[in-house]
Amino acid sequence: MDMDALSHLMGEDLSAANYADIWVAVPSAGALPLVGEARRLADSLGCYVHAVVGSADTADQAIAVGADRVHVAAVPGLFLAAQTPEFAFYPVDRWHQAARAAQQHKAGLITDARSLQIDESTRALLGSHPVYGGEYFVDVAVTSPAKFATLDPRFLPEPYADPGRSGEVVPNEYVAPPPPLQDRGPADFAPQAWRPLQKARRIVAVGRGLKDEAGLALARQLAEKLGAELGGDRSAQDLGWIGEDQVVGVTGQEVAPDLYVALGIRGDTIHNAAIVRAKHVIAVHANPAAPILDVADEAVVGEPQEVLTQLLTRLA
Amino acid sequence: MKILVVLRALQDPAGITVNRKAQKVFVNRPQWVFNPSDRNALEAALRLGGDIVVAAVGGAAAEQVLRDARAMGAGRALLLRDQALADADAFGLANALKAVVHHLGGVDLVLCGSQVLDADLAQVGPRLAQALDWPFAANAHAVQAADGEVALITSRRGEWRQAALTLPAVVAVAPDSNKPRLPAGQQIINVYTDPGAVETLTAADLGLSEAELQPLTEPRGQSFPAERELGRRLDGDIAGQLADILRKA
Repeated sequence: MDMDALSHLMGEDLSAANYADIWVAVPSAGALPLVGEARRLADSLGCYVHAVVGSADTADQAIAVGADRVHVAAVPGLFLAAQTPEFAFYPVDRWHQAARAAQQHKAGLITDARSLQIDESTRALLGSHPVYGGEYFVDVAVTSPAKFATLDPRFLPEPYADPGRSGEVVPNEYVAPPPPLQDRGPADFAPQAWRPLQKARRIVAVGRGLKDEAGLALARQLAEKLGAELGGDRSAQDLGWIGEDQVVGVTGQEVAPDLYVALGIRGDTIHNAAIVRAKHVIAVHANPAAPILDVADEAVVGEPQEVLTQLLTRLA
Repeated sequence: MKILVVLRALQDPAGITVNRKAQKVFVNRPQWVFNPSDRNALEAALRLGGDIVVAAVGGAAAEQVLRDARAMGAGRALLLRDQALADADAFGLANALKAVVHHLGGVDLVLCGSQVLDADLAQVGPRLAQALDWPFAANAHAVQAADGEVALITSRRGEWRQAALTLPAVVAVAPDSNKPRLPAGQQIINVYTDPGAVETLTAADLGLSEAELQPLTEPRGQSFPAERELGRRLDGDIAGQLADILRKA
């Protein structure tokens, strides 16, 4: 058999063999937890971790948290797309770069992947993608020669940094092509000043337990900081703090936000039944017997005003 | 201007209950609706005007969504109905949509939704852009087209920016970025009584090869977040713990 036919027969295996190591796009220091995750997976596989960093300042940190080789490139995602990674991780906000690169490499991609694992015998990448806003997950195995995932650093542990780790900064001559998306300057734009409470992703809800206007002002500050809508129970409406359309309750609005912060709301049945579809509830109330505290994921017994004052300084 | 809008039908989230304890999704009310941001993509297309074609992959549910889109004002609807397409993942769907673009003799703009609620398929938009070698923009608001380019507003690192792409391009429209119109009653009747309102295409009609539709991922079922333990009382450094929780939320 001549060599051409042999390499043709082996073509698929050979192309698979070209894809090697775990590569991570690190456009900013915020994506360093991805390198830690790559290190964890590389240790079980016995392969190298390459980090592509957006600025040379991050190179040492990337090595400390687990990179063996560091490449500096202005647009890490595009540099990575020009390599042959067996596994490639992008931060979740660069999902479109990851998707383009995956299509280019005929690779499968899990976006916003959770609980990543690698099957050591088949080298498939296993992960979960949240659906219906995180109600549950679809599990998937990526089986192509190159395997891509985007990860949210917020859901990864803070990586262990060892300043004594050794790694190498590999120079490159890569020049990124000009971005196709032409930036035309800042936009004076707010997506929607008001959204109905049922559709809000985050709600800060106020009640009589906030005591006075000063307490309400603190709650407003928290809402602004979190990008949340303001709501409340019937008692807040009676005090004139919120309007009729902001009342949460089965006689007002039933809500299903990702985050619901109840401040000084006692939590009668009419209110609590309207928040059963909220994904995460935090409640603050001075009375340890307030029913709201038993339906919250995290409950705080304390004066809402005092807790808020401390919380706002911590979030500043 | 010729615009292709990619649509997806999904199980109405209001009609399902996720039981974390039983590790199961219960369908109480089987009802198919538009993927929410796809409806915003269609509305954005209708506002731009011109020759609007809608396309969806699937069976009866996809056909119903296409009919609704025709009732809202889309000029033509293509249903991609084929077993090979039903098994395809994001890679195959992007290739199929590329074939649709060629089948239509090219288009100026492809619009899709920026989020897909029930599957990991928001990646189809940028994948299609890559397959066509066109520029792509995500999470677009206020989409306008003029002089061979599309102008839009998008967020970049938490800041709103004006941006533009040279046509042809693929743009993913942000959820809630506009208020989709309701179809006129007469339009609904016209569309539902017209047997030719939705054209059906197969993989063979589009000249798609097996390699182009080859799945690169395997579904492995579903998993569920841990059951919520309610009523956990915080003590100690309350403000610090709350700040951590809120930063991660």
